[in-house]
Amino acid sequence: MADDCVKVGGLGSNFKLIKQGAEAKLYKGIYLGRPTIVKERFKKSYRHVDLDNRLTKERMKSEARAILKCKAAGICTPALYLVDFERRRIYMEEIQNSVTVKDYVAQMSEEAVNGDADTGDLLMKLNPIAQEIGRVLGKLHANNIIHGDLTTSNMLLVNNGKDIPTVVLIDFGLSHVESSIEDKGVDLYVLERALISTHANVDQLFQVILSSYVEENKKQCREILKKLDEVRARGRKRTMVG
Amino acid sequence: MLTNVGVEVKYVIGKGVITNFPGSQKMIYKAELDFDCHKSLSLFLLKDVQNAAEIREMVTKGTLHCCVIKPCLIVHPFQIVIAANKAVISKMQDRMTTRTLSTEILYNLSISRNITQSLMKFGIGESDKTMLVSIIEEAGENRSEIILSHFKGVLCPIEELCNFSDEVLIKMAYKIKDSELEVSSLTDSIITRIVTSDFTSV
Repeated sequence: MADDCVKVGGLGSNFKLIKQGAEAKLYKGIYLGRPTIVKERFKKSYRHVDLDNRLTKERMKSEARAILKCKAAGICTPALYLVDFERRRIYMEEIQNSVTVKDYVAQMSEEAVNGDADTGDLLMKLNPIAQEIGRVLGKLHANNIIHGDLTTSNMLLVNNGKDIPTVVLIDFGLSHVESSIEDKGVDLYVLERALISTHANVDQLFQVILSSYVEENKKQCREILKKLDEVRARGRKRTMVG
Repeated sequence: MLTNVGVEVKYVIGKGVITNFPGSQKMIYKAELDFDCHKSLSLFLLKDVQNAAEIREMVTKGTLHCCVIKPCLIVHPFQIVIAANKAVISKMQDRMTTRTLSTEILYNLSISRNITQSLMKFGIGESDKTMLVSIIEEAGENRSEIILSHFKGVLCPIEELCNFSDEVLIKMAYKIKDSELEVSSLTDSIITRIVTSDFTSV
């Protein structure tokens, strides 16, 4: 794309394209006087128009509902400034002073490598964050919210001046409300896979996350952990025996 | 945008006269709304208003084009900015739920989908003494002076809004629990509800 600081279909010249995924484009700018992120979903022309509109609208509703439900459940999410179905955009608060968990872990890993520290030190540094993530996910599932795309890119760490950073969950595009344990197990499995693939040397973090997860979601945690084992046994080149 | 108010000054308006005081900008909260709509919102806080009934009638009849809001349910001007922005966009897309921009703002402020209840809850009563006047202006337009001249009351610095906000009432109206306020400001919790109330129930 040549000019990303462009008046894109009425977004105004002060919005900059910062990311493009398969589902949507992300813009950053000032809206109503506040730093804002705009998520604009694509039109999928290969779909029938009515179906595309319906699907997009439903996805946007799920995303917005999940963000609100999280707030009500005591989970930090961006504030919403506008949900515009016609222009397929969600305008939300841009969280300041934040870094994705992915970038933070990558940063810490690099520092560890450069400083010749061992994995043990690195894990110790990342421990409080992993614990906080586990707590937040425990609350999420205890409130029957399924994120649908739990990766370290969808978690932000905000410097709040305290020992325990604030974990903000973002990107609820695939979320839904579900009380069953199956979807919660899958949610956790997605995170485990994401950790293993992106942060190979610190996949033990997942155990730390799980331990604080069970503290927070006492009600269903036993079944969810069992389900997690089951889900792990599925998938490619795995025999579902036993 | 909102500027800092140093000294508390009272301005008496009404009787068709508004005096231009130096630094009178501190009395307005002004916000640019959605880019496509080319509109802005001006917000004024008034107290000791004597003619609430007359104002209500003028607004209902359509002779006074502004939205008059009960300050006790407003925690921050941004709450109104969000509701007003939603209203002007609905108008632009030709899908307002109510008949005028002013009623649309009141309807948006409420999380109820019942129009009458929303207007009653957030609009002013016949004997209200304090009110927030919100005026939506086209780019470059300035209707504020004329509109404010109809009010017989005292213009306050917008900062004084916190003296009139009733947090207990607000939390009840928007169904916000204290546990939520540990991860979100009251304003953020309110605006997220305003923005989703047409397809979500809290």
